[in-house]
Amino acid sequence: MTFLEDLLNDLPKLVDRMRRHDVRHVSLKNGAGALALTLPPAPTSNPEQTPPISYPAKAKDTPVPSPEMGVFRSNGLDETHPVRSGEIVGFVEAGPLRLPVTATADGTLGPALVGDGGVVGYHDVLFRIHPDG
Amino acid sequence: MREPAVSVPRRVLIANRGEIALRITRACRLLGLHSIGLHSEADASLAHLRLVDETICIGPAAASGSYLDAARVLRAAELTNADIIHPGYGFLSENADFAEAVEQSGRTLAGPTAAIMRLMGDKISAKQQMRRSGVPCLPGTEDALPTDLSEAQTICDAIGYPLIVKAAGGGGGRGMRVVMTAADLRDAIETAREEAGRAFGNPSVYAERFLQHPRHIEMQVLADRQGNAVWLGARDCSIQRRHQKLVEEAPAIGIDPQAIAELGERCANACTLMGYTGAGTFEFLYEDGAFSFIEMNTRLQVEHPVTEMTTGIDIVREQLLIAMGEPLSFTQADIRTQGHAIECRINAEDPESFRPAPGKVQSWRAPGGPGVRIDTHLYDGYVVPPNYDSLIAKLIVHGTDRTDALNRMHAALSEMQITGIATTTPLHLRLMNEPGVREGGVSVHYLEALMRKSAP
Repeated sequence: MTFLEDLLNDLPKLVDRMRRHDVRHVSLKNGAGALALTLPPAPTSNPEQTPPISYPAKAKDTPVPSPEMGVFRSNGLDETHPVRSGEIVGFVEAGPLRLPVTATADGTLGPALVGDGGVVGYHDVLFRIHPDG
Repeated sequence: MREPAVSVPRRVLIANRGEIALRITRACRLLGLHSIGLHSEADASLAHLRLVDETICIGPAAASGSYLDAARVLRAAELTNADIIHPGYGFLSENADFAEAVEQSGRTLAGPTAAIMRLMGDKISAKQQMRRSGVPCLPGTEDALPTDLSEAQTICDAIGYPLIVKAAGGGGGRGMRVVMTAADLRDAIETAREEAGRAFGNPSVYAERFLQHPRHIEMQVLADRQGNAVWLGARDCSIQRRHQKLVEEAPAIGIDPQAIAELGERCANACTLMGYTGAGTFEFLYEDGAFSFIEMNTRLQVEHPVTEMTTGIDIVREQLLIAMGEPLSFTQADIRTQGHAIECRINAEDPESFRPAPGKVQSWRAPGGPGVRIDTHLYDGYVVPPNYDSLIAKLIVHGTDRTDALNRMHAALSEMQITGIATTTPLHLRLMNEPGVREGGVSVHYLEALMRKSAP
């Protein structure tokens, strides 16, 4: 495994740690490999303090589509995870590319509709986001 | 000692849409194969996707980002572990680069090899191959016309006028110019070259004698990987508009069956000589009792059902069996043709102007009765998208003879109901009563002349 492959496999953990330490941008370099990662603004509230939210109806849920046809890689997020629009919530491997799946709205992310390693189509719905409030 | 287990390919990716995707799905189900339907984002509600074992959306509505995107189709094959890719017709079905990529991925394309596609895709090399195989060709240039216009003029003068300048890599009327006199030649070559370069990325053109009132006659063949090849009879596809067929029938009337049989034998032999595999069609112009090769379609044809109806052979099933490595289950001696079959292409188009008419199908009522077959992906509420070919249904009838088939077609067209969008049905109804069609044997110019005559 190359430096970049290792790093890409650990990307969900890295994103998590950056969030916890309020780091929005990181540049890493090792030999021929380099990675620059910029995260969207973090959610204003602490996820751990967010009270569980009950879903009255699914009508207003916002779908989170797969950016491409490929293999879904989970970020390990659970269904009560609060997200902000633009936040990375998983990845899709499309050939040599590992593409981020980003939240399409602020709210509470539902469970992944596809298991880790599952085949997904172009713009298949991977999650639903329930609006807060 | 037990033979090592050989894995038989059983997972078929259907790399097409519409009625032909449904047709292939049915053949897969008949053979108990695992079918995988790919589709664009605009096509998630296609009829065959309810019948296949798996589906995958491969890209946006635009065909360039979905059905025509070879990399995406191949990725879909990888992700779904498909063994066989059936390309149907159109899209990637005659793309030799795609066929080569399929071969390199270790999969099987339901069709000939990439090398054969290239050989037949280039009209010059195809004609050379046909001449070697004894298939009749029009008098014309052996190679591409030289770039020097004076040299080209000398060659064309020797062929005689009228002649036609055609794109080596083309089809469908593009890169094609009819030259009535020697004075018009240079302009025709230059414009055909320019058009061919733009349309096909290959500016090479060739010239051959131009027939003024030919019929379009074509020969269906099937060839397996064991070197067996058969011909399944001729079709007459002369009712066309701008090189697009509208009505097809089998057999071709008014042509000596012995002449058809001799042509069929030559076509089957040509398949064996070049190592052709799968279904294919040799297209000819027919005038004054002579056949002249135009091109070979190295794929399934839209009009294959009329041959299925007259021979009783399921061509798509045979294609899949050939792709699975099976030998043909019948010989030439087993093939018999019976009765007469006609197909009308029902397009979502204005029947007068032929402008595409996409939109929502409010209601769809299929015709029925003895000898009536409908190949379609229509259902109530189906929305015909504007992104693709306008073919929405193929109405096929089989009668005891041609008159019976024409009558059955008229009755079936009258019974069929498609509301919400314009279709070519009124034109077909009219055609079934036209004296030229009733008599049969019209030329490829018949329909356009008829439309001109009836224009206000």
